[in-house]
Amino acid sequence: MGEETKPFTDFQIDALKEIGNIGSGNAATALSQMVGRRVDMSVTKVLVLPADAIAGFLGGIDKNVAAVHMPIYGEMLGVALIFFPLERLSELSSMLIGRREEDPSNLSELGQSAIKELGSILTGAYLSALFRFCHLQLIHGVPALAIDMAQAVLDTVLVELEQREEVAIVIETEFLENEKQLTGSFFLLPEADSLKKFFNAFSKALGLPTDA
Amino acid sequence: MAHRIMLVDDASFMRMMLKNILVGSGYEVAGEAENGAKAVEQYKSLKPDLVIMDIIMPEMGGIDAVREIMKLNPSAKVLMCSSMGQQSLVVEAIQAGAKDFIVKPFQPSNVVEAVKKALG
Repeated sequence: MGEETKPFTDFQIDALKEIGNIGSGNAATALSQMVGRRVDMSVTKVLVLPADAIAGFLGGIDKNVAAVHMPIYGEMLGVALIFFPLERLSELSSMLIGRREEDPSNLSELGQSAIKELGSILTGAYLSALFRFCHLQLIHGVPALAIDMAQAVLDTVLVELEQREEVAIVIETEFLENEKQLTGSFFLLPEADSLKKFFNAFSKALGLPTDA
Repeated sequence: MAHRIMLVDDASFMRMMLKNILVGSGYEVAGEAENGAKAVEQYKSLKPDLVIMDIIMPEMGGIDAVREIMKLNPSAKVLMCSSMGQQSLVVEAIQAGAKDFIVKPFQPSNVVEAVKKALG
């Protein structure tokens, strides 16, 4: 597993965690409304990882995962990904559509649509928290669902980035619904120029000197 | 007669949720489309009383579709349905002619209220 990179100071990581908490708060409200039950969420970890360490973070290159990914555009370009543990996917999908799904690798069309929508709504919640904090207008595109080994999913997604920066901002979130726990990880992979832009907007919001 | 509503969203799950809410409140779902281009085509033949439109969709997005629909019928009623991350686009949609917007995910009561208000 690659080591955590340090383009951000501990202070900035704390601020990212706070943004993550606000985003999770939004996301918890969103998820509660979708499932019609109370869902609590908390941020368990915020990391900045080199892209080649993501698979390791998820449990290894050959770990089977489910990921909803979508392009990010607006004032920053990149890709957003939300990973869910594959073994919990049927449960999550059943909860959303109110009908039992058995095989996580073979969800019904409606189940897949529900998971994609969940990913897109959660991403929206994190992006609006980022906007509130750094005033970067970010919009996400159409979500896609990939169920495969971690590295295969990442390879598919990384080719979408034109200028790869190879750094991912990770917000690991724990959802708690009716005492059942589910961990989802939100990854933001900005393009090279966009990472700089993000860093500057973020530093400005924190009252720190910027690179520009 | 029940008001006829057309649903436009690329996520079949969202269309199903909206349909359940609307039918349960006595509205009729006139048709469904999965992108803006299909919505514009269907609008011509279905002539619904109201359109509920997602913003981010493949092929043609919701804002362009609102513009096209307003060209076909300047008094068309369209409600945008967007997730929190797309709220910056809502202003553009309102300028294009949309009456109001619903934030995803929604509470059934908010949907019904917005629909009632738009249908006036």
